[in-house]
Amino acid sequence: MAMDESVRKTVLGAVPSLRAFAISLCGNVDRADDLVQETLARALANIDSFQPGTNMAAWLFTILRNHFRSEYRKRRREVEDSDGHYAETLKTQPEQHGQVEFREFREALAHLPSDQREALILVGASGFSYEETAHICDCAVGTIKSRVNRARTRLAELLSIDSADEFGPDEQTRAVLAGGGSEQRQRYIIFRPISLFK
Amino acid sequence: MKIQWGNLTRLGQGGAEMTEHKPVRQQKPMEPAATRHKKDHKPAKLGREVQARLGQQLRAMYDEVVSQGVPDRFTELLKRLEGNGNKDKR
Repeated sequence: MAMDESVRKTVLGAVPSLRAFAISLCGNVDRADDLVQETLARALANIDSFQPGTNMAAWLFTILRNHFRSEYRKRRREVEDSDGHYAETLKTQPEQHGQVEFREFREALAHLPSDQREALILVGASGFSYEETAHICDCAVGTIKSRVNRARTRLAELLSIDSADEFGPDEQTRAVLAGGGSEQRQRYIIFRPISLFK
Repeated sequence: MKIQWGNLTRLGQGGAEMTEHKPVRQQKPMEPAATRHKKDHKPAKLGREVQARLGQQLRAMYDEVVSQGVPDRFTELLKRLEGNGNKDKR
């Protein structure tokens, strides 16, 4: 297939974000990279069906997501406890791609239903609009909004944060902060490296 | 699968010590009244700070992968796929 240089650049340019999305979907770097590879192969094989002028990244994300879904369904028949399986996958390779500071967050993310997880990632991290995300996930915009809301609420629950108060400092930092004013404390709460399970 | 605290804590490194305590969520921290700021959040709606915090974490996690750029295997894959397409079109 003859590929336009600009198309080629756009496809390659989408790879880092596709990988990040794929990792968030399957929780495994090797499998994620295979998923991206298969996505690229499919995309190039069907490059004629891409409508120039539309969002190439969204198109690639759609292919990746659909491919993952069909694979996932296949696996689901083999592994009944699909959510547990995902969590298990994470557990067996704890620090492969993540720093320690993200571990708890990843684990909480892993416990979300997959449709909520993907909606949250696409809107909250990939930077797609609700409309684009709805298109990628082949559902209504309202559905995406509700999934994102539920995902956030669930995450906050899993990470034990009902309000910013409950990001509360651990013993050590509590002591440090004892002299600080409320404004200082608030800033600290917002920007402090997370360690929610303490 | 229903998520229980046991499962979640077992995944973390702090699992061992965590099992001796109740989940943090159920332990209402005893805060001095002076440092406690108003809790006017509605039960179903997350505060802006919490949302910002979650968003920040999410992006940080995502961007960590994005910052790795394009691994060589994908540049090579693209070259190979193009080559294949030109030579043997199926």
